[in-house]
Amino acid sequence: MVYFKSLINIMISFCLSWTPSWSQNVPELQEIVFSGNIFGRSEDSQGQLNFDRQNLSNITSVVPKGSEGTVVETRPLKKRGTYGLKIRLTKVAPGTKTKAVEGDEVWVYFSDVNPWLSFRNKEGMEIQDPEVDLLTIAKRNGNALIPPIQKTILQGPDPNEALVADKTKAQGDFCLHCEASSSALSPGENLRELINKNKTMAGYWSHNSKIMEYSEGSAVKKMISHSIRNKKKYSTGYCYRYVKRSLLASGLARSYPPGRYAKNAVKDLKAQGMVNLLEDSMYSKIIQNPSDAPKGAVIVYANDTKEPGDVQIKTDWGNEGTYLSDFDPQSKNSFLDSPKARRYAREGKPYRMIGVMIKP
Amino acid sequence: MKYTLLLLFFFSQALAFAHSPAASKLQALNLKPLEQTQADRSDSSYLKLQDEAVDALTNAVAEAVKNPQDEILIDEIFRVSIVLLNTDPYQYAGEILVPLYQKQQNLFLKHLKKFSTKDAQRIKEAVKAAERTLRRGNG
Repeated sequence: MVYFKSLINIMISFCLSWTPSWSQNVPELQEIVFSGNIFGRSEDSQGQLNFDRQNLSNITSVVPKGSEGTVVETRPLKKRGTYGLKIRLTKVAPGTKTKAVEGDEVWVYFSDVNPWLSFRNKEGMEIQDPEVDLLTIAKRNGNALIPPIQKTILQGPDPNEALVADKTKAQGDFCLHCEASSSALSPGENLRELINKNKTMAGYWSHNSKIMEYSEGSAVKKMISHSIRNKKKYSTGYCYRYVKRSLLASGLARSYPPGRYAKNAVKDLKAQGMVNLLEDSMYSKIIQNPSDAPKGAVIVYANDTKEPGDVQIKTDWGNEGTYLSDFDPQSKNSFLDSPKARRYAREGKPYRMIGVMIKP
Repeated sequence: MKYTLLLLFFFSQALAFAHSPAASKLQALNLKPLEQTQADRSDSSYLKLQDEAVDALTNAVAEAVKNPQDEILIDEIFRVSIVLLNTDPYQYAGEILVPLYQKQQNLFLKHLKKFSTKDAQRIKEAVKAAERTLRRGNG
């Protein structure tokens, strides 16, 4: 009798402690929207996926920007944070010549560092960190053999980044270095030419070779283009997250910077090797407002309240360009001109720039 | 007795249609210039109107937290919020609504049903994002 009771106890405790891992997380992921033109691919005869940029044989169609679909299957790839997603197309965006039709099932490449897809839940709201759901679906399909452990810098080219023939030209008609690569000059000459061209726009900074090299360098271009490609129509409350992603994608950050609040970004980004120009008396007198900051600077804002602060990337010199984070402010105004900052200024708790970060 | 009942009836009707000062202030706002797609968003009159709307909305939300039964006030709050959310990419109106959402969540969601799905979704999305940012940061 005693043995029987203990056996029952063991069975009950086993049942309580064991549940299939996939049943703990019900994925909220419902829909995917393509934020660029992406190659749809097929598996090979052995069921293997190949997203190599050199491999054109398995491309079945180009899925145009704005198309929508549902996730049928996910498969973690060898690089951490990257997945192959099998998507059933529910809508093919008009206006682009493509073989893709509604109902097609295609494999596409996804990287959390440089996403070309946005994920939505049942209510149509965007899922900011889809990795949990992608992994849950992969586990359900028995595909989660290589679990992502930690976010690290992803080395090597992104298959969604460029067409094979012209590595300067991205998929989605997004031309990253078209202007620089169109001439027959060497990269060094090209940079000098570009710097000369922008000297008039750069104003004071045109005399500072270190800052000019940073602002006109390829890393800043990559950071800005990443921000442009991933920006939303309006704020999602994840300004710092999107800036971190752009920094990581451009290589300006060595690893995904920790930290939740934008107002702590100065400390977080210094740990990544960036410097705050406002801490140098030579520059702090010159940078009186965001438009004075150099192109590509990461501007950090805070006030003397418990507010989380804000962070933005300056996309051009002076009053040209705009200030990007998770969204496009749709004007040339920085955060300091936003209704929120104006209200705090009226109440005597004004926001101010606490960091103008660059990586010389 | 008959006159007392009649008086009570008129009194209750008058109460129902009485607007709080905060609601009247929201109603008095002329938000059409904000809604114009061609509007210059850096123009001083545009910014002034936006500031007025933000201040009026902030006061109205504080009033609604104290007096959640004022349906007209809450409807006006949502009407002005929708205009501000559609014209301000920073979505500050969502942040202004957070105290009302936190204190009167059921009432908040119930009132949203009066608005179109698109508008209700926009408000819900902005408020949830603002609440999460205040709680867990923006990183």
